[in-house]
Amino acid sequence: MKNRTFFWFILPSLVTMMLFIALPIGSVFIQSLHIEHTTVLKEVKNCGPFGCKLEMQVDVDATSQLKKDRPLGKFNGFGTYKNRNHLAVSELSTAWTNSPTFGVFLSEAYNLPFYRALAFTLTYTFLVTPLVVMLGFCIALAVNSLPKRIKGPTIFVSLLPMIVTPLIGSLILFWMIDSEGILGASLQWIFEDPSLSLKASPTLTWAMLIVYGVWHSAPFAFIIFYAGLQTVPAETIEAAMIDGASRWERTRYVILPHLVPLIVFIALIQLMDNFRVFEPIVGFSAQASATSLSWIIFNDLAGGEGSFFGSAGATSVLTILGVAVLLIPVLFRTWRDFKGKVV
Amino acid sequence: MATLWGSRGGAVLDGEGSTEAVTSTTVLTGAPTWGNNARPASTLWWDGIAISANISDEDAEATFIAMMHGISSDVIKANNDATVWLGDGYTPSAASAGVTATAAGGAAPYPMLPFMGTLHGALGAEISDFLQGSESAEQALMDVEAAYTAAATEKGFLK
Repeated sequence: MKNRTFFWFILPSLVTMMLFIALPIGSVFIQSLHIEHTTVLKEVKNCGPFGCKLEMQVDVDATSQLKKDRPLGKFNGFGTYKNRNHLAVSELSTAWTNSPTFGVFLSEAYNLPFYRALAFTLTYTFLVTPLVVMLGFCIALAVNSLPKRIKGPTIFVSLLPMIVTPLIGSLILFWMIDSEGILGASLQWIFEDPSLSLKASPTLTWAMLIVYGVWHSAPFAFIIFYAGLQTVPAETIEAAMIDGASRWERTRYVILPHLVPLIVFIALIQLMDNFRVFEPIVGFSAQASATSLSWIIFNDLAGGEGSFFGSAGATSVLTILGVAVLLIPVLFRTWRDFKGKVV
Repeated sequence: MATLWGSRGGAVLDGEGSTEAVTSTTVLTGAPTWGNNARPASTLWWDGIAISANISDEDAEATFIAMMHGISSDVIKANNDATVWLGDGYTPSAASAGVTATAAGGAAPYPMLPFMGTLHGALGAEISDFLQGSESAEQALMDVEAAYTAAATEKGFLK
């Protein structure tokens, strides 16, 4: 294709990508470099039912004039990125010098909101992604070997967890593990511990969120693997059977290699999806034990105590960087495969 | 022993939502104090009245007259037990004994300040470690201070 033709060919998608991807990210980045104007204070006499006193109050007119003149706020550089509620650069270096052991340093870091959220986000991502791939593959193999008549209904039922809205799905599970719910009450009965509560223990909350994540995402992996299984060439399977390969050997040496591109695809999508885990934390009201980067962004924007646009922007940019770092190995592999094909 | 909103006192003692066993054994009193009884560890909230700036002067005047009548001592006397009143003519009841004692002890009014929301946010986020028992109160308060300082700087309340 000529360069000219190529240019006109990709122009529409290039423009759309600029408009809907690059520009919003650029604006979020610019917002993250700004903080609100320093409020103008004035001394006023404030009288209430319990007497009068002089106090400092925000000069609303002067402050809103400042905002009107420069709506973006005050330029702060990377100050928001470095402050205690984000990368906490100075807090971390203090902790590094003062901590006698690496363990103490880790617990100091875990006390900072950003690293606490990062810890859960990464744990969630790296446990849920492989579990979803494995469980999805197993379900696909199982469903594929079912007789034709019950295949359709089974596929439909297996897809249900993905169809349920994440917030509703997690809320249902949350009620089930309540001490008066069916799972919570059963666990108390099994362990003979009436004070056992999945919600009160941070570890159990993490486990619960991860179980929920696997439950919710496994159908996605299942349906893709199931579609992939339909493309496994019957001749190869037959040849393997004639060679005396057992069912396990056929799966391991014929089916799995055939599905490798799909595994890469699912891992890629799941890494991105799981890194922005959010709904289950809201559904489970788990923010006291587990927060994620997306939850921090949501809390900054709509936590009920005013909006922190600079903070939300900074966390968003850091999340994008995190996703980029996570995807590098997978993208590198895809690029290498692509290059291999050309040569 | 329990700490309640002062306005919940009525519902505890009114014998409607409560039982005889509760009403006969419950006494309401002021909030706990700190600094050798220097000050109740509580703040006072009250309902107020406000008139919108963009209504006509006649409407504003009529609203003002109606509201001033609503909090006059005659109305207060006629509806003594309907709520805890802050105006003249109110006789404290058993249900409002706690609120009255707290107010008389010198509790500060709740600071209606723009940065209180940010402080609440920092408190809510950082106090949970202490409540779960995984952190000391001192450490939790230090975290609250650090979280608030960062948030208030972004909001323009601190330099």
